[in-house]
Amino acid sequence: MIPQSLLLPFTACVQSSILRCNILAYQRVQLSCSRVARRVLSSSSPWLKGPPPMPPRPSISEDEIEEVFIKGGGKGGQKINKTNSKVQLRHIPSGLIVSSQATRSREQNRKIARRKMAEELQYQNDPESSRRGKLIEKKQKSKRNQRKKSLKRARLREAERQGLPEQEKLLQPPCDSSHEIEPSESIYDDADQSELENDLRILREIEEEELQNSQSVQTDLVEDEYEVDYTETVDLLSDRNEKKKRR
Amino acid sequence: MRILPAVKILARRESPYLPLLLPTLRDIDSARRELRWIAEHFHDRAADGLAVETNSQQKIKLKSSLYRKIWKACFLRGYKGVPLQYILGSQPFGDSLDIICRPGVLIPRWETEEWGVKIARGIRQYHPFFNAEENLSSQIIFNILDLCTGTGCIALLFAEQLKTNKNVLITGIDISQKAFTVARDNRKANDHVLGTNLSVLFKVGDIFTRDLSSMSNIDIIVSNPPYVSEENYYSWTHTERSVRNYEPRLALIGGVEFYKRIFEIATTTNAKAVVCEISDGQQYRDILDANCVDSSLWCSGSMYDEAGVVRTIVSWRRDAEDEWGWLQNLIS
Repeated sequence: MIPQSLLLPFTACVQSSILRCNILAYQRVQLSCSRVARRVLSSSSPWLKGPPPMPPRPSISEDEIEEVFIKGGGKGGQKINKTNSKVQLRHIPSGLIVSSQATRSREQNRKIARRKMAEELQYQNDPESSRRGKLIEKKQKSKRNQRKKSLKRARLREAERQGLPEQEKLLQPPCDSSHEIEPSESIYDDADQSELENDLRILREIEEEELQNSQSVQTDLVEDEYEVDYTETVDLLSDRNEKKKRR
Repeated sequence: MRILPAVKILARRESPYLPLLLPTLRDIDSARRELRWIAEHFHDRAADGLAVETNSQQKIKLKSSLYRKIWKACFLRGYKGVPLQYILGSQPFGDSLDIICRPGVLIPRWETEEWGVKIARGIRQYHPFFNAEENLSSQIIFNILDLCTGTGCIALLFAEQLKTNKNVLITGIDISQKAFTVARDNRKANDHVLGTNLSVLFKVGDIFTRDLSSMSNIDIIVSNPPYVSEENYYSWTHTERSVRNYEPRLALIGGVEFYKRIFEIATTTNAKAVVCEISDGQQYRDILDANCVDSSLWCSGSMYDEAGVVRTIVSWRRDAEDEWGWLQNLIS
């Protein structure tokens, strides 16, 4: 039988909208919680398990792609010192062209372009279940949650301005969202910048993979990271526990 | 083409550092890219300082010096036209090399990387020294001679690509003492390409006067000699302004006399193959016309780079066809 004192934090968290977004933290928190709590957290309810795993990273065979280069003609060599090293790949069967110029190193740009090509092909074949599709879904979801959060904050601010007591704050009608919500889009929202961000995300994934490959033996490091990331949530939980005990 | 005011305004809205880069880079995309590289570089360098436990005041001090460095780097790059590699001090090269770049030594170009990798990979794949089960000849060391080495980038590139259990010796020669220092620093910084049976040596010397007869069993001579003609060097339509103002003239102005001397060295050192970077197809014809290459002894051809320009002269001895004949597939 699970003791009541342990259930209270979780029910409270489920009701609170703030922690709903950090529900993933529970998976990480279980590494630092007590044994009893760990048993509770590892129960089979769906929201405790975290999000479903991402589809695997796609790969591509070298025979299907070729490197395309813009024929410049004219000067080059010692006369010109170019800093950008753009790599363009063409997928022979479908004719898809993908380019990357995110880093100063051509080798890194090649890797990024290959990974990008593989993702693009996977996305085209199967938009829903491909890796990029899932990433887009994740982003949309977090954007929706951010919107909700900022709406709620705006409502609270309105209520405070009018000087209402706490219970009535939450019952305020949603205010005009046009001037209260913080802008989430950048002022320079064009295709090149989002492509750059995409390239940087792929670069980070590649670096992560290489790091993992070189450190595959040391598993303690991974646990340390989790603890560092979610100390906030752990503190929140401990605060709640203390408050319940005081009552 | 002047930069439109709308572009300047857009750049300023995005970041106060972007407009500094516009005069040299001319458009926002390249400016954004280079600003990111500059910021990453200085942030990484400062990160060690920021990680130290300090009081809040000192942290603020470090932060503002970081911004000042970024501002200065953007100013030098955009308004003065200083090459980015001199500001950041490095240039990624090959698969894993990071070549240190300092004023006074020529910056490695992507064309050099491209043909260097092609030739080195070809050697690794097709040359019998690296592929035969036993050494059929009495040869036990593969000798590469890199003339006018500069930063040592070609020597280190070949070292990186030819790392095997076979013995390889790469020698790099340059006339400049500054280049010698930079090449040695590069070897130290990239020592992961060295091995128990792979060595890279650097020497100072003028290839026109230095006596190289002590090296008698060179397999291949590689070189990126100065090849820009004086006329093209001072022409605004040929040479970039930042190259003319900041890179060493010693490494740039040259001509056919260098190739003539390289082929003479090839004869004295018994070299079996010679691969050099050239300016364009016209210079290739000039080299052949000046009788630098004895066509009874040497097969030669030119290799294109990825921009579609003739970039390299590739030649090998007719009597070394079994070792170097595969070069035929690279030339056109």
